[in-house]
Amino acid sequence: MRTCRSVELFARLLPIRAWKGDILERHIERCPVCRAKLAVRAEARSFVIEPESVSLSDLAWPAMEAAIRQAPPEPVRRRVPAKIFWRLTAGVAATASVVFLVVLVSPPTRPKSPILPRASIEEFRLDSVEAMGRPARALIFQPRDSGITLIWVE
Amino acid sequence: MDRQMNEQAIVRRCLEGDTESFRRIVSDHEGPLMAAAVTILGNRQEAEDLCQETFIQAYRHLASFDGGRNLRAWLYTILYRRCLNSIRRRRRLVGVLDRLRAEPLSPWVPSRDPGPGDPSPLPAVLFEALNAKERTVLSLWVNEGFTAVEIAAILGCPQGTARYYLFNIRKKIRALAEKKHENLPKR
Repeated sequence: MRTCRSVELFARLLPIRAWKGDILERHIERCPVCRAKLAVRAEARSFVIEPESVSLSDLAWPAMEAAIRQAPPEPVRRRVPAKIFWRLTAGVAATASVVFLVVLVSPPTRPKSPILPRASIEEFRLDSVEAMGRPARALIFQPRDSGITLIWVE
Repeated sequence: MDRQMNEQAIVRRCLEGDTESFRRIVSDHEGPLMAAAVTILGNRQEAEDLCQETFIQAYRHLASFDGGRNLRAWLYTILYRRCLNSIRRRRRLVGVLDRLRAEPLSPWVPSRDPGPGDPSPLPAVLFEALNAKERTVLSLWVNEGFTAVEIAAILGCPQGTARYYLFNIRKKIRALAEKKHENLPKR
């Protein structure tokens, strides 16, 4: 009994109706006590109008006939079903939001440094320069963004 | 299977312009549709208007009817949407009139006095206990014997949601039935 009440309370606390329905259904299938608390079709019959007791009035068909003669059936229009359309729209919107957030949150990129990476500087090392058997002065040029290094010896 | 093939043949004839075939569709389904509409709306006249509109809309869109589906379930889908729209319109109208008048109007209640040829009125407690969606589910469950899966397809909701509606309805109906039983004059 306590379990039944907890199951129902738990189901009612769930935010989505479909989950509530699935949980309650699973419980009812196994619990004869809870099943007995639910009305059966025969009991509910007095709360609905029975199809045998109602019909359209005699004037209904002439009115409907006039309406359908004025507007014959429309040809089928190939349309994207509403469900798929909204799913696609939601997907695109979600992707756009994520991209926007990533752009917003990511740090601004720095402009490229004209200095070559450290590794290449370390590889380049001049301890002494000689020209025609005598010590010489070396001038090193590194044009910006060219990727080349010029050495002038005098 | 026979019923389905028969329905498909009738629909094909309607699409060829045979209005007599459509009349047959109307006479086959008017009772159940009217019963559902009266149960949802609680008003015979409004139910009749909506049923007529449902049939006319169905005729216009008959080409889009999926032959593999139950024709009555398709008609119920159209009717259900029309009923909900009508109830929303009515609510808006009551709201506007309430604002216009100094003294507020009473909320809409189903007509309790049946007119000539009207079905026996539904108990007013039903309209207090169940909302329009629940009354639709009740009508489909009792009169058609539809399962939660079929009801979900008509309402356009997940199957679990239809199960939840059914659970609530059955519980409320049991309570109403017990109350009704208690109120019966004792001998």
